[in-house]
Amino acid sequence: MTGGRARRGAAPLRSVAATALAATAALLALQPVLRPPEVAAGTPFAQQRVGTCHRADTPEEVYLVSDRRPPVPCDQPHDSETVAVRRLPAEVVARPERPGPEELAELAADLPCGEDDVRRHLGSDDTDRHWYVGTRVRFPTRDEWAAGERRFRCDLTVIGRATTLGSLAGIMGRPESAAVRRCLAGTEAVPCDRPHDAEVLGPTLDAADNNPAARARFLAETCEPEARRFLGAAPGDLDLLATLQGADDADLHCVVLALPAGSRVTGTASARARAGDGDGGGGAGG
Amino acid sequence: MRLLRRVPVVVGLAVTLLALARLLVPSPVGLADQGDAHRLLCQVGVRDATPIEDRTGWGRSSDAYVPFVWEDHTWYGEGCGAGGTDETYRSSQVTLLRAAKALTALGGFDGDLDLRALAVVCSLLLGLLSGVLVSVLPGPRPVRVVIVACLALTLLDRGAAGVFASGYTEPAALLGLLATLAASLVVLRARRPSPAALVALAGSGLFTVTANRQMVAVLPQVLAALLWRPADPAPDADDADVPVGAGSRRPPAAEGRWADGPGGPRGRGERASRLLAAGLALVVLAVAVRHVGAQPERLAQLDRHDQVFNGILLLGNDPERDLADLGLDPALVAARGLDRDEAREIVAGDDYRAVEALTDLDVARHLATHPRESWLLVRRGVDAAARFGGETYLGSYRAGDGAEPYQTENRIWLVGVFFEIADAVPALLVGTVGFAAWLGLRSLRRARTRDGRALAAVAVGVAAAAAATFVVTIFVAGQVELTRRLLVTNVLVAWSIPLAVGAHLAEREPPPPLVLPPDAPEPDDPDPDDVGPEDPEP
Repeated sequence: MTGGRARRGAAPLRSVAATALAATAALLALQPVLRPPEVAAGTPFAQQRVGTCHRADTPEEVYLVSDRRPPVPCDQPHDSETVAVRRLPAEVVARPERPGPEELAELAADLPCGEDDVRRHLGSDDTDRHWYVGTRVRFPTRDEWAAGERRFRCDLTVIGRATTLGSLAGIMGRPESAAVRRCLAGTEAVPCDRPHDAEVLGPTLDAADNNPAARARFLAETCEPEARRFLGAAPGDLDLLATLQGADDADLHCVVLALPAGSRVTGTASARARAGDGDGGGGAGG
Repeated sequence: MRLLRRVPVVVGLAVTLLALARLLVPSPVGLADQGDAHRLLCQVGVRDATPIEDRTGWGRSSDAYVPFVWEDHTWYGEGCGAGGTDETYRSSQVTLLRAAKALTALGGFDGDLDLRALAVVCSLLLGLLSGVLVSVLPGPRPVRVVIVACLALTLLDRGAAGVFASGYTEPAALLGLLATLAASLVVLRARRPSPAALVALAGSGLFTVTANRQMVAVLPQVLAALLWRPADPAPDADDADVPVGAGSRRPPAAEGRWADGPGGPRGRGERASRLLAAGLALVVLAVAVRHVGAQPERLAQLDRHDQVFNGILLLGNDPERDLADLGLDPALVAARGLDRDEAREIVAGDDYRAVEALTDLDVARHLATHPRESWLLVRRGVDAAARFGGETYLGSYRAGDGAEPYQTENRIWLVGVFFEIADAVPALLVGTVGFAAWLGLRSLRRARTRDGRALAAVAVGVAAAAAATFVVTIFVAGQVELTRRLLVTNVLVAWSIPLAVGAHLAEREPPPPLVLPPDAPEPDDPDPDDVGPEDPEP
C-alpha cells in the first residue's frame, strides 16, 4: 500500500513535469513565429553621404530598393559609390506609403541620377569618355518613408565587378581609369585594363551615317583633333593614329592604335590620366 | 539491449538510418533554391556561400544545384524581409534551421549552416516521431509498423525527401503534421487526456499551422482534435450477450471505475480536461489568426497578382470581362500571364492600385460565380499535384558531385509511381482522398472501441486536410509553382490511405474486456510497446 500511495503521490508531479516540458518545448519551437529575430539597424538614410562606398555581398542586397549597410572605406573592395543624395519628385513625395518595388524600379529610371552627375563625379567629358559605369538608385526603407524621409541616393557601379579602384571621384585623371574606359581587342570591346590594341575616344559615328564622305569628314574634323587633345604630347609607342574602327555595336569609333601595329597594351593612353599619375600609364601587354 | 527489443525504438532507429542514408549517402541530396530560401535562412544570420557571380546564369545558379553551404552574414534594414521589404517571413521552420546551425558547428559540417545538418536534424525527428507513432497507434503491432512505414516512406519518396535539405518551409509542415498525428492519437484515445498530451497537441498543431501560409488549412483539424472527444461506443448486440458481473471483468452499467456521476471525481476531471482543451484551442486559434495577420503584405501582393493574372485570367475565355467582373480596368489584361516584375510598367500604373485593393472575398465571389473557371482551376491543380516527384526545374544535387545541372534524384519512388499513374488518370487523386474519407467515416461510425474511433477520426482528418490544403494552395497560388506548393497536399493524400485502412482494421477489434476496480494493480500490458493514451487517476 505504501508503494501504491507513493506512486499515486508521484503521479501529479510527473504530470506537472510532463506538462511543463511540453509547454517549454512548444514555446521554444514557436519562438521564431511569436517573436521574429531582429535585423541590424545599420546606417539610416539621414546619414547617407556623397562619396561613400558600399559593398553588396549577395544578389538580395544588390537588388534591394533600400540600403542600410554601413559604408565601407573606398580603398576596400566595394561595388558602388554614392554620387548624389536628392529629393524625390513632388508627385512621389506626397505618397504616405512608400510605393512598391516595381513602381520604385520604374521611378528610378526617370530620376535625375544621370549623365551630368556621373560625369561630374568621374571627371569625364565628350573626349575623355567613361564606359562600364552604371547607376543604381536606393530609396529610404518603409519605416524611414513613414517617418517622412523623401530623398533618394544615386550610386555608381562599375558594371560586372566589385572594384578596388578606390573612389571613382575624379578617376578619369588617374591611370586606374583604364577600368572605366573602352578599348578594342580586335573588334571586341573590353575595358582598357585588359590587353587591347586600340583605345576608344570621343564621339561615335552612327552606323546609319556610315558612308565614305561622312567617314572622311568625321575622321578629319572630329577624330584627329579629339585624338590630339586626348593624347597630349604623343607618347613613344602610342603615336597619334586616329582612325575609325567598328566595334561590335557596328557604330564607328575614333580610336588610337597601339604601335607597332598588332601589339597589345593595357592601361590608358589618356594624357589626363598620365598627367595625374606622372607616369606613362599604358604598358606593353600580351 | 533490452531497449532494442522494443519495436518503437527499432522502428525509430530504422527510419532515422534510412533517412540519413537517403539524404546523405553517397552524396547529399536536397532541393535547389529558386530564391525563397533567403527569407528564411537570413533569419538565422547566414547567406548562400556560393560566390555572387555564380548565382546567376543557367547551369551555375542556385536552382541548378543545391546550395548546401551557408556562411555567417549580418543583414541590415530590409535585407532580411520578404520580397525586399522589412516584413519578416514568419515560419516555424526557422526553429529547425537554428537547430541545424547549432549542429553545423558541433558536427564539423561546412560553413556556418550546412543543409546536410538540417537533413540530420530532420532525420532524427522523423525517426523519433515514427517511433512515437508506433507506440500511440492503436491496433496489432504489425499493422502499426506497416502504417508508420507507409507514412515515413512517403516522406522519403523522390517527391518529398529533398525538402529536408533545403531552404523551404515544408520540413516544419511535414514533421509538424506527423507530430500532430501522434499527439491527436494520444488525446483522442484517452477518455480524459493528460494536460501534457493536450499541450503537446496544441504545440505541434501550432508548429504545423505556422510553418507557412498554406498550412493554416489544417487549423480546423487541430481545433477539432483538441475539442472533440469520441463517445464511448454503446455495447452492440454481441456485447449485450456477454454476461457481466462476477463472471466477467466487464462491469455492469453505473459500476466500476468510470461510473462516477457528473459530480464525482471522474466528472470533475473530465470537466477540467475539457476546460484546458478549450483554453488551448483558443490559444491556438488566437496565435493562428495573429500569424495569418502578420504575414508579409508584400507576399500577399505577389499572391494577389498571381491569383488574378496567372490564375483567373488564364482560365476564362474572356479575360477582359473577368477583369471587369473583379472591378478592374480591362486594360490590365496586358499583364495576363506575366509575374509582377515582368509586368512592372503596368504594376506601377495607377490602374493597378485596384488590384491591391482586392480581397480574398472578391476573388472567391468571382470564382463562385464562374463555375467553369473554378472547375478549370481545380483541374489544373489536380494535374499539378499528379506531377509529384516528376519533372522539376530544381536540381537535387550539390555542384561538384558529378551531377548534371537540374538533375533530380529518384531512388525511392513507390509513392512517385502512384502519382505517375495519377498523372495519367488525375481522377485517381480525387478518388483516393474520397475513398480514404469514406472509409474513415465508415470506421468512425462502426468502430467498437475508443481506439478505433480515434484512428478513424485521424484518418478522416488527414483526408480533409489533403482537400483543404489543396483548395487553399490553388486559391492562393493561382497556377504558379503549383507542383512544389502542393507537396504537403500530396503527402497527405498518400498518408490518407494507410491511416484509413488502419482505421478499417481497427473497427473490427472488440472492446476491451477488462475494467479494473479502483485500487487493483495494472495487469501486465499485453504489448509493452503500446504506451497508449494517458488516462491518469483523478
